[in-house]
Amino acid sequence: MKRKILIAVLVGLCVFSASGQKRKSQPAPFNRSNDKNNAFLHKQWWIGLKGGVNLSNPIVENSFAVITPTNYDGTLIGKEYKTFAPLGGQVALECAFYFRGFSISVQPGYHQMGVIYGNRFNWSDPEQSSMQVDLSFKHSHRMEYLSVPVVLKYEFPLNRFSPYVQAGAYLNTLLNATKEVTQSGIDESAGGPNHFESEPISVGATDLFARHHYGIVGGAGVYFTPGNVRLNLDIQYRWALTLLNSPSNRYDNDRLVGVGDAMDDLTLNNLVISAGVMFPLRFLSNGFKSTVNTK
Amino acid sequence: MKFIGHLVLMCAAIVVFTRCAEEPSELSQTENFVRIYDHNGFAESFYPVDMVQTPDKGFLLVAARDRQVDLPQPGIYLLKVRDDGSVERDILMDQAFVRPIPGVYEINGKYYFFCMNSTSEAVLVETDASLETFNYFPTGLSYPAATSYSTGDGFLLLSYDQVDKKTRFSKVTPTGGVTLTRRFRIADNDSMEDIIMQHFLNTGRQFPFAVGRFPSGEYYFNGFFDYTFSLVTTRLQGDDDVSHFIHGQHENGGLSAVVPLSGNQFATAYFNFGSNYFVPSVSLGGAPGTISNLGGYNMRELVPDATVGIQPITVDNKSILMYSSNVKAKQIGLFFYDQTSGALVGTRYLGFSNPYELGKSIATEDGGIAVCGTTHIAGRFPRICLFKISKEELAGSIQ
Repeated sequence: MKRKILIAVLVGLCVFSASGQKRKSQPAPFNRSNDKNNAFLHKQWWIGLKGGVNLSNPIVENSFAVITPTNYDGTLIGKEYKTFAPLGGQVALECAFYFRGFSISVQPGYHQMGVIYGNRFNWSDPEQSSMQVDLSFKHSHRMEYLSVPVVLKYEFPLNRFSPYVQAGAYLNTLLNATKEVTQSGIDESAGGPNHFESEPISVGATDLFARHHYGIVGGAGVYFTPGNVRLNLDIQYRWALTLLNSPSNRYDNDRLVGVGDAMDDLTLNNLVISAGVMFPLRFLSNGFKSTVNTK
Repeated sequence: MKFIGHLVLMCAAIVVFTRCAEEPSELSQTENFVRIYDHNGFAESFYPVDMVQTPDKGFLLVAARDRQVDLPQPGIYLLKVRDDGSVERDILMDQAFVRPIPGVYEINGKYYFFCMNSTSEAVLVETDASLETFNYFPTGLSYPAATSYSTGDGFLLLSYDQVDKKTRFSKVTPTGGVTLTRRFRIADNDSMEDIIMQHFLNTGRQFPFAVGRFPSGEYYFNGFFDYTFSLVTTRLQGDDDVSHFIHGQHENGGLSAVVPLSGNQFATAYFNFGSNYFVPSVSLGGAPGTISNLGGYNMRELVPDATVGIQPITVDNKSILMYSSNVKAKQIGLFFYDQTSGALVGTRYLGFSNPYELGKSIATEDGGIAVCGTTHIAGRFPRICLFKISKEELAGSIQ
């Protein structure tokens, strides 16, 4: 419930901020023909492309397992998640409206990210030390999303460089997901170490994941403005507020539960690093020179 | 007006964001789950023979536990799990008790099943849902093979009389008292002795012994009679009082399972020289017969002489017969038949990668099913598995 209230407040702020920009319908001062210093940067629509890499940081809300120990501690076979891995990628279209240092930015795009975890098992005979088998599982997930972040940015103009901070929210809609499971281990019981590794099991795993998840975004970046276009380096950290997985479908994939796997209830935070370029939509003429509003 | 517009826009955005996400579901943890109960011992093997749902919606599983280096007979492992499949308690019974047989029954809050003691005597074990207390009632009968329970008859116990070389049908009270015993001839010589004893010693083929009472009032057993593994109906008026029988093919054929439907109609399955047949509806009355006359569907995907369970269930107000068995793909196969038409209306396969074998399938209180069995983790270690499937998911498997 706290999450819903938090996201409600954030979304509300974003919507109000966005809609609030429309209130001044009369021409702004910097639109006047003799105000060349302000004409370009005080009120502007921007559109651009950005792309980059992302790293995932899974947070376990509730742990689930198919393999349930009866005579040893379950933590011995607990899942170990890789943090800030694997490397994902994203491309996005960015549309922003700038006004007096603030800009509201919508960044719909394709966002690919992943989750990796593993666990280990051991069987042994205390009376015969050679009777021992170690088994490891590695579970790799790859998810593709239509991601729609909405952020409010505030810039600190410093000549051609404009650092900014940003905050907002995002909504991810699942497009596709796959999962790969590999088993490997050592069997000592056959007279020597027998290393074995099974063929990876790859399955479509769309049903294992929530169709949508959302969260909040915080971050910083910098614009570099060599002419009228803006080059952008952007870093976002996305805190997920809702589950990445689909609890109701946790055990639906017979192939995955057959190998002994059930997904935890997870939220997935994501560090997103992007670079991009943005173009102004108004006052642009040949040579990226701004034109004068003649109204 | 603008403010109202902004407010509406904000509310719409909030609704979109908050309604499209998934929340953790408590129900999904109890209605649907899969568990594999692991023991980290190298030599241990576990094979569930039966399970029952307890009033707390958990499950009590009775399993054979083999440690290879112990006695040749498997010991007894009891596992009580909660409604989400998590382990509540497990007990490895004293080695004096071995070889539990299918059939665990709840009577007045106590749970009963039969096993053998070290002298091959059938012992009725009484415990409770939390596996705290145990009582053992020796019956004086040897080599228990199958059991069932009804309020009027108490326990019906099928066993093997190794002295007289006969199949023995007994009624047993919940305190182990034997109130009636009838014997049925198997052979005039020892020709069947080895085959039968290999079953009890776990050194040969395991036969689908069964015993019970049909709605018509007649008793039945599925066991050895007249040189053959047979389904025999009897009124228990005396020894060899047989009112009807269906012969198998000596030890190479016979009924794998039988469930009365209505009137004289039954759902059965049988094995015949390795082949398996499902017969969702057949009349078993009339003249004595053989399994060859039963017809049915030749289930080529099942393993030879497969274990078969038949469970009447209701799915979406439809009467369904769920056949469960082991398929050659090393999975547990569920085959759903319309009880009225006998037509196949769905299938489902449980397990993947590691081999899975059927233990028992039951209907659950919530309208779903539970299936227990054995899976071989890493292809090596036989461990108990438990599948709980909700009624909604079950409905998705049926056309």
